Amino acid sequence: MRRKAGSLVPLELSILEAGIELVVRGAPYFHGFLIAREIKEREDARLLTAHGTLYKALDRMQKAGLLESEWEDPVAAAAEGRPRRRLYRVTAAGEAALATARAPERVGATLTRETGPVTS
Amino acid sequence: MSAALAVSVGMARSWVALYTLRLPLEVREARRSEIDSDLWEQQWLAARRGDPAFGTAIEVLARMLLGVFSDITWRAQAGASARQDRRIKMNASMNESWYMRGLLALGVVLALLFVVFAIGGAVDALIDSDTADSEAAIAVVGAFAGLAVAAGLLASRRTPVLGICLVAAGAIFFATIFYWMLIVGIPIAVALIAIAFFRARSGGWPRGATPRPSG
Repeated sequence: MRRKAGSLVPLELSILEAGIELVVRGAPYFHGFLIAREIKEREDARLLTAHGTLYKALDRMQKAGLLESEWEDPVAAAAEGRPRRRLYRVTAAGEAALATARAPERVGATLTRETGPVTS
Repeated sequence: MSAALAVSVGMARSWVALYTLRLPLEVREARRSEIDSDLWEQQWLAARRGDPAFGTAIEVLARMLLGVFSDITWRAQAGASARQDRRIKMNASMNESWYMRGLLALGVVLALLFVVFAIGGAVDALIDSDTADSEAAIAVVGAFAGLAVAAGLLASRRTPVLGICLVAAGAIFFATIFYWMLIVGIPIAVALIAIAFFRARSGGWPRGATPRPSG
């Protein structure tokens, strides 16, 4: 089934949330493995997100303008003796998309708080 | 690194190498480097935390296997996108330069002359009872060689390898069967192959090469 244009799938929401949280914690950029680890910890998952699922989502989100990326300086990576990382950052459009996606949930939560849960 | 971890990392790397085959260099290298980095970070973290290597190996394998479907669909999309980019580039360079068109016309005319010449030879051999039938047969095959050169020249832009091969096979065959004209045949064969080659190059062949600007 094709999803509605502009809507975010759960993994995309998780990436945006984890990315923004990393910014709050003072890490403006993240790489694939770091975000997979963040999502695993946040969601208390047993496994890290699969390679294919994660990098396909990152690619798709970048094309949609929700993320932007740049390759790390190879010299800096070589100095630390590791392969260079592709560093991602959540864009303003990404933050807006997350806020839009979370808005109905917030409204729902407020209503539930004010009126109590609906029982039949 | 334990053997199990080495095997699972090797499998993950091999799988990436497989599904990124024949993608444009930039896309291919980006995906391979990204997975390489991910695998390295996972191993490094596991080693730092003192996680058992076998558990890490299983997790690497699971991450690879659970992502296979996404990898395949991503590959299909990336391939389609690359083909579309290539088509746009080809269309942009479709207006061939006047000299390339002139060379092509010259080559095709020459190839058709081969055909006429070969048919003439065949007819002559059949009329002249002193000439063996095999000579007539060679002349007919020579006519096909001429047609192959003409077809190859025309096809060299869209299907470069097939076009160049057809021109080369036809021209070399023609030069060989009419060996008494080798001194003329060889330079003409080389010139025809060169026309096919430069025509293919102007269409962006080999893949990834920048199409030659048309004049």
